[in-house]
Amino acid sequence: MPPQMKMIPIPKTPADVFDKNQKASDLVLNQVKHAYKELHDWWQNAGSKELEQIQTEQEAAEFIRIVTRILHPEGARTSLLPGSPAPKSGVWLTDPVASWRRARPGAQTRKRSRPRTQKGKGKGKGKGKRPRTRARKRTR
Amino acid sequence: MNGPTQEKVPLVQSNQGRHRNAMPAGLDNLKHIVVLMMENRSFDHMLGALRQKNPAIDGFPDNWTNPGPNGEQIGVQLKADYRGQLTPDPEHHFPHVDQQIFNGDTSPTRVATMKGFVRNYYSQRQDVNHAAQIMYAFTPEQLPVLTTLAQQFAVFNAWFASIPGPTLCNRAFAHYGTSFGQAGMEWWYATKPTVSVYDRMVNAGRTAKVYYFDQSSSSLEVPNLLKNQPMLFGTYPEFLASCHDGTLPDYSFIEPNYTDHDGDNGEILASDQHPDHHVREGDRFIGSIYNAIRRNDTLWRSTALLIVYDEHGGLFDHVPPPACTPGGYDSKPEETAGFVFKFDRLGVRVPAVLVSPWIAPGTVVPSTRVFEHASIPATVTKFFMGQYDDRTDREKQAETFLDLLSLPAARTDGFMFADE
Repeated sequence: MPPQMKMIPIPKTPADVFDKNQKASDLVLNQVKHAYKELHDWWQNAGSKELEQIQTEQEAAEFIRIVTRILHPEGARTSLLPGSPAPKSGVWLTDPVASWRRARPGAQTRKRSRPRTQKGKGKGKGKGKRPRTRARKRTR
Repeated sequence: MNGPTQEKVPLVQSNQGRHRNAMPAGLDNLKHIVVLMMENRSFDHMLGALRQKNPAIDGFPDNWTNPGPNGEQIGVQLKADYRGQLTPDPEHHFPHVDQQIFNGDTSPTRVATMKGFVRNYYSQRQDVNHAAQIMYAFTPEQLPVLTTLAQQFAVFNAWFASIPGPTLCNRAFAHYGTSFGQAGMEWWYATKPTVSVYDRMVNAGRTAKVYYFDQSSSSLEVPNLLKNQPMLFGTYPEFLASCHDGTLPDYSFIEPNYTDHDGDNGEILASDQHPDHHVREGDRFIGSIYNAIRRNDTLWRSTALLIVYDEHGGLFDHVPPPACTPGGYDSKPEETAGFVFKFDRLGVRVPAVLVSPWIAPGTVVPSTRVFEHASIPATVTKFFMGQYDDRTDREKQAETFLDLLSLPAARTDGFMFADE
């Protein structure tokens, strides 16, 4: 970043405007409807909420989260950012990446320094996929 | 006009599908295009007051009015608030937008006057004082991020929604260059040979991603892209990390947060600016995307960021949408006020700002150059792939915008946004 960078202060959004119980917009309800339609069979089996039960933004968000976890499980890794000092609003004007990595070295956004090998797994303290042989042992 | 006049620069395609010869330096250095699409605000509502600072910006005239229900003239006021004035959500489906543009005139010889916004909003609550709020505009000081970027880089005087209708069909034009005949909120399935701009990119060996905010907000592209091609998707934190690391794809499309909801680390505010979500949070979100690119100097010099809104959300604007190349489809009459719409007229004007260090400060893209959301896949395809035939005539005819990166050297001045 150039040293002469000017900083323009932006006020924070007041925290008390948060209202997860506000009625979901036509846009969000349509997002829910389309997602429901796409995964209809899954919902039937899972006994999940019926469409008409979803009225508020929080209810819609919970539903959409389930759908997205099914369709795009990889998104859970980078949505959660464990240990991250998230601002109240969820929007970062400062650079959050360095602090994410300080909070949890080796978290998902860090580049791996060397490829993971079979030999290295023992030192990983539970990181990564466990060897198949171990899983088989357990089932016996 | 205060800003520099923009002339189209001839682009010459190279063997690699990139435009290598006779290019301005900005294009020669360009490696990434990022598009952030916000929700439901009109140009005049967000940026119209900038005309006071720069007369080249085509904001509302001083005496602009709309008639109220009893014929009284209701003028524009700089009284827009971040939240609380737009409940219920102003109508923006096709029949209502038609009324807003033509003030209820359905005759064959009708003229777009942009005089029907107050009467349309009045129909929702029958309260003229409430309906007058549809004519409220923000001051530049209320939107420090958007208006700073608009003044420091390029603001478009004539970027229109692709359809005089709601969100989903308009966003489809940004992804596919068409809505496949849809003018409403019902879903459709993309049909070949038209494929999304992301498909085109990946098939050509390029990289492209759609970044949604988090899994509770997700994407509005569930039935086509997210369901069938989840590998195209990432999240907002992943976008920030990619900017930090310099690993951004060639093309990125960013979706804001569509709901107030509980996140894993606390309460998360909607940042899409859809009425009646808090507009400042959306302004901060725009700032965070800009900052993420700006703080990596290599990325900054090789990236063009477009901030654009999907449609006007029922809010006033004074510029009549022009006719356009027909979309090649007929609408379902039940979606379009009982008549067949040929997709031959654009929707209401929306804010659009292009950011790059290769753009002169104060650039105003004149009204003679008309852009719409099909301009997005048209620009991305033209820049990264060159000739590409399997797309709609509408997209092929759409104006592209990278010639705006016309400075001979990257600007060395700089600013970022910080928490107050």
